[in-house]
Amino acid sequence: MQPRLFAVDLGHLEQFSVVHNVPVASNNNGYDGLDSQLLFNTTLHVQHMENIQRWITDGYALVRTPAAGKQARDSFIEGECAIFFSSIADHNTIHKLTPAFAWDVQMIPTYEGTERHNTVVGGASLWVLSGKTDEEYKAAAAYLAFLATPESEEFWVSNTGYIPVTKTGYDALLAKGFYTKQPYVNRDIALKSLTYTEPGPLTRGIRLGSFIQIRAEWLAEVEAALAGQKTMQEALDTAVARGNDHLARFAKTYAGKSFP
Amino acid sequence: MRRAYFKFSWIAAALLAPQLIIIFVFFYWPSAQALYWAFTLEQPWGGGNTWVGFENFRTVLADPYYWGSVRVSVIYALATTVLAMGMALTLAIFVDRQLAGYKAYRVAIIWPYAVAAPAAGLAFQFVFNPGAGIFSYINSVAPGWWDLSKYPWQAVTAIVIAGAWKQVAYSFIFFLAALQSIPRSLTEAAAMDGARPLRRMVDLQLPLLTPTFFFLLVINITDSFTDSFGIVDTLTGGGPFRATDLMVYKIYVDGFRGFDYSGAAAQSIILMLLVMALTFVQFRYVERRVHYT
Repeated sequence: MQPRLFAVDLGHLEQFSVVHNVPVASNNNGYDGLDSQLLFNTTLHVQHMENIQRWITDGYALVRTPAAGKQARDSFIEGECAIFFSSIADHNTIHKLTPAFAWDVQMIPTYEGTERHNTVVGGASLWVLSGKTDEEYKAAAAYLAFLATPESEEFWVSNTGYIPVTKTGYDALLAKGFYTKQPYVNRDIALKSLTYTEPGPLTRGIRLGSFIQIRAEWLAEVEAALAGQKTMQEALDTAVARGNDHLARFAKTYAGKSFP
Repeated sequence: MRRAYFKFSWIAAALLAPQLIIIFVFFYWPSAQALYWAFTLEQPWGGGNTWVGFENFRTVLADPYYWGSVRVSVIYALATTVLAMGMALTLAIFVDRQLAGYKAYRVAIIWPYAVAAPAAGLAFQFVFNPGAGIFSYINSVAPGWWDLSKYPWQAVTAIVIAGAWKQVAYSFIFFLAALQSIPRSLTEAAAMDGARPLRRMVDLQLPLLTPTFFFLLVINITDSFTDSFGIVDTLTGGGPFRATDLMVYKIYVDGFRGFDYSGAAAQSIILMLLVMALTFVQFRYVERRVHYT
């Protein structure tokens, strides 16, 4: 098979919107209140998804979803596709799988004529909840302080492939020359991307109820568009309408409450 | 009819208690909780809920995609049941006829039952993989023809085959046991009257199998409604565009991934009612045609 340019997994909503400083939802991506409405069917995101659709039709890109039995990463490692988009954790994975060609990592591309902004962290987080005793909070604080020591950070970074969680931890790693040795060379591109600009109202994150279901709506609709069942605009409109139902339901679950 | 009654005994109660506690803790309690949640909006991280009456049910039933999910669940249940029972019966008859190597087959066919659904799903992912599996040979003849991520009917076919494969073993054991419990004298008498194997099967064995047949029908239908989760999760993830979003899988996705406990609870109640209704229909209308000897 002829090699393609892109392997596309279907996750081009959040980081794409943030790096271009366009909103996913109203209320500054949901930060300012529970009555948020999705907006991604009105932004540059639509054009981007239409481009992806065109690249697939024209043979530049291949879709890779679990149902296709192959992930975008597999297509990259096998040399089927030249570029794929993923979490920085895959930097570690690809090093372990040692593809038979030279490769490198770069920041997520931005469209010509737009200004690059910072990206946001994804994945799991640690939470400290209210309503516990002082002693328990002391213990929680001690644990978080332990995680932020340079030794813990280095252990974490070298074993997971993720990024250090504090600026101090990152500086300590830089001072040691951590990122000049393989397999860590260029892995800190993630930090450069995350801190590219000061976080603004649209780039500090996304805070939406039922966001996992909203993503699922987006995915199912985009799949339908890529299969030629509807246009990309119709698909994104449907995803937004259904996503807004989820948001309304979430707001109703927390009726009368507001964000701290 | 003679009436029998038993005196209350502490020993009997103590012996029954573990089983009763297990049923209560793992069945009645969660069911009652689900029923309660179905009528409230439950806050995902605890902290309270609001009573909303039938709103969760209205939301679910007004969603056209939910009806798509019901439709594909019914198709899946009927197709896997027919396929699994058909294959199981055929295999059981072969083993019962003691064809060459039947002893090895008898053990081997039971194995799939011990394979967990996600493992079966993963195995079939390799079989159906459009790029690397057995089905990729189709694609080398007709490029792009087989692709689970594009064609809904192919994705549904894939989960039906995987689901049926998994259920064959169970039905096989019961069919074989039933066939072997048919008295030899009946078969021999029929043979002496000049009935060939096929005639004996149609006129003698199959009618005597109807109680087993009925039992397996109920079990298989129930099972394919409630136990398809692992296969869908590993094989298709509900896609492409919700084509394999079976009711039980949708409950999992909404409840455990999306934290919409109330919506998932309402769907669970609907699924429970549907399975109960189907079982009732089977007992009411199918069982009438079953003759127990």
